[in-house]
Amino acid sequence: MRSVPLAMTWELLHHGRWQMLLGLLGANLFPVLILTALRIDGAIDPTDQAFVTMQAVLVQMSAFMFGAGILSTQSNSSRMYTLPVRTSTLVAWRMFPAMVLMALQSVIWTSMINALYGLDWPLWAPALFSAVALAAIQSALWYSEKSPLLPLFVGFAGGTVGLWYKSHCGPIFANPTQIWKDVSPGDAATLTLLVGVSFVAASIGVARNRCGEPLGKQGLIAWIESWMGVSLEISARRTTGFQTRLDAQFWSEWSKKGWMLPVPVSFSMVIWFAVWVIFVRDPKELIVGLVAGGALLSVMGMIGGLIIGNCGSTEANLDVGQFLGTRPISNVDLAWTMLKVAAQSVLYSWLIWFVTSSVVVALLAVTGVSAVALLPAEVQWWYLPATLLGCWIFVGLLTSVTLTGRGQLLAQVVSTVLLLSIASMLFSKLLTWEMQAWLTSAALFAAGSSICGGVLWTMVAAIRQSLISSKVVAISGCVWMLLTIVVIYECWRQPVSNAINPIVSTVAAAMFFTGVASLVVVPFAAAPLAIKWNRHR
Amino acid sequence: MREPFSSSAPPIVEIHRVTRQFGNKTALDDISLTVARGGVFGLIGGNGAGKTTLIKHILGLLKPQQGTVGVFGLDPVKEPVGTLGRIGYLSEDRDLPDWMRVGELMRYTQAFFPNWDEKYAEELRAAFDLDANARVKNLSRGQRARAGLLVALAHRPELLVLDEPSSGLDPVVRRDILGAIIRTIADEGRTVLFSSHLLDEVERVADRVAIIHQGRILLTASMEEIKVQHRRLTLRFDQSVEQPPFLVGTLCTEGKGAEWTYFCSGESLQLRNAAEALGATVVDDAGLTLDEIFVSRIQG
Repeated sequence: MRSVPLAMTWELLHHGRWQMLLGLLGANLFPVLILTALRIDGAIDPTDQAFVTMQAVLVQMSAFMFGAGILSTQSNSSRMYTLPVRTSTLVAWRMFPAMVLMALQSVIWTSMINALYGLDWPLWAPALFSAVALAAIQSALWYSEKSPLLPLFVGFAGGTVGLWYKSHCGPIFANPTQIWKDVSPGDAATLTLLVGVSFVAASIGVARNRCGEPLGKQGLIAWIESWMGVSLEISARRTTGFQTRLDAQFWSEWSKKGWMLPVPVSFSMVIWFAVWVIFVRDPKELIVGLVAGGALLSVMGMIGGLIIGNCGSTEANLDVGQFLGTRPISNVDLAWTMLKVAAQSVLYSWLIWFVTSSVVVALLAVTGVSAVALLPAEVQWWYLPATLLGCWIFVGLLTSVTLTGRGQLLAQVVSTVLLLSIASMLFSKLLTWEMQAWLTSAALFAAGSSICGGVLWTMVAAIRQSLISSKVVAISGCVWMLLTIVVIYECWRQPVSNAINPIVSTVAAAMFFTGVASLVVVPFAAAPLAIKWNRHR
Repeated sequence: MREPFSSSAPPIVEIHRVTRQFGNKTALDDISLTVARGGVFGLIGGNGAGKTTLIKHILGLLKPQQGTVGVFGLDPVKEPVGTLGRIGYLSEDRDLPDWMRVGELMRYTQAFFPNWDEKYAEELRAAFDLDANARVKNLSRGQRARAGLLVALAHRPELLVLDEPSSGLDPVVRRDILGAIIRTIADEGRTVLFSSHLLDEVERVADRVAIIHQGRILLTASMEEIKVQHRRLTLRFDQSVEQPPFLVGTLCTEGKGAEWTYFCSGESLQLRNAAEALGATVVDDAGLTLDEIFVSRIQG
């Protein structure tokens, strides 16, 4: 390598080839699957308003996926601080090659979509937006590196650029009404300005970090940071001893990870409510949003489970660290401590959502609006416990899988589930409606019985290795039976409509949900097995 | 050199024919080792020799693929509480919870060890000059090692396991740590097992030593025995030789012409007799440092 730009570009391309490939797959595969399914159904109509919305969403999703791939390749900048390179050069040759790749990916992706599906989506506007969005987020990351305000800065940068893009597609807080086709001189100037501001902010951030100076603490920033720091300190600070080792371990785990689910849930609710108050103010949208929030708890639970289950000494290393591994605590006690942290985290998060929703419903009732009347028809009595149990299932399951310390296994499990779902969805589009119904029933039945079998196997394995007591097994069995009875009752009470064979469909659905119900109790056996597998390699 | 403590008590660590592979690499190859109760046991070897892998087996962090490991007569994998509750451990990478303060770390660790001595812990904290309110992540490397040693020592463990305790430390801190080791030895027959590639330190404090190289134990003996059984002989021959003649017990040689130095395993008298039988004159006969013993054993 004879020049810094060449060396840094080579590093990005060589070091990041797999991550970018993954990002590329993620950016392209999903839109291709959706559009293929639509084409098979004969539903591709470029003049359809839905396609306008789809274009806006897919552009941003594609930018997000590929951008995440690029950002993950760019290792910590501090590694380069001791090189004889100016800060501006460092920033420029980290930022600009990435922007070029981003724009190139967008152009290629859009050209491919247009060619395959006969669409006429614009090339350059999304490409330029994607490149500038990446630069803005990069600069926010570098500017607020090592500061607890990093999420705020990144959110502000991404949100600002995203809203600017959205403003080209119609009203900002309504569905898109048009596709942004032409880049006007004003747009070009704005984009150039955004890149310039991003570059300057990034250079200031990197220059500051290079000298080891933290983000300036003045005024509002200092207040926010001190509030965040004090809040976390109050919950974590320990000045007295512990009664037992379990208490000590629970304190350690909760202080480190327990709040990682409730805090984002609270934050999301505050942000969403603020957006509703400022821009929407429709009671029906409020209720629908709250209902959707209950379902989103499960999605957030996935991330919570990944964090809680990480008992490694660093975030990137899932192996039980030597400090934790050499504490005189049994695998069973360690696993139960993790599960207790997970359960408390789920409960707090659910309570935050439930109490907020209850307050909103009460306030609406005071103003004469019946929240029940605004509920979607699909939401029935089971929705409330399902939000709690659903969140627990995801958190408990992901915690147990992460506790194994096998990152590859985790990636394989997640990838397999995703690929199977996508493949079956795609495959089913090639079948007749009757065959789709049979296939769906068969898949549901197979999935449910596989899950039940897997749970039973896990329980037996844990019993054999004395990692679970007979009392816990009995309680788990009772809980599972109770949930199964409820599931079967509901399936019988509300059989699958429009089914080829209602009995088959109902049995398949019951089997599937019985399997899902078993996932409520599987962490009690899976977590100790996982810890043992991780701790003693 | 200090006399080791009585070995009439059952050994504290018994490793019997343990083998461990990571993929195609054999990290431990049919290793057997016994650590007697009391005294300082030094485990020496180069980088990648298998020291940390062996220590992880003792702590139950690795399961032996073949063979058995016994600590206090128990299997450390099956009985983590029973074994780890009596062990104080300082890892090579000083793995400690970064987010905790030193005081919190002490209170947290105290909960796991019924024998935790609060007064002793405070004495150690003061002696190691650690601020109770300082976060572990903000400690320097030496302070971090001292914090790790504090929580390893404060519950007065029967077995203290130190993996490269002096790694990355300045001479002053090293002296502090070694001083702590010696204090531990002075207290009622406790045992210290420490691994190091800094052989001058091992030579100063260890009672018994095991040399490990490429997953195999080359030698296990007391420090006295090792010193007695390794000699450096410088021989002068009547004529120049390109290759030095074979001498029984030779581990390696260096020199040229008519004068060659032999690094040998064996007693002095026997080696001198063997040298004279070759027709050589013994110019020098000296003991070897542990460093020289180690290098010659590896090269041999």
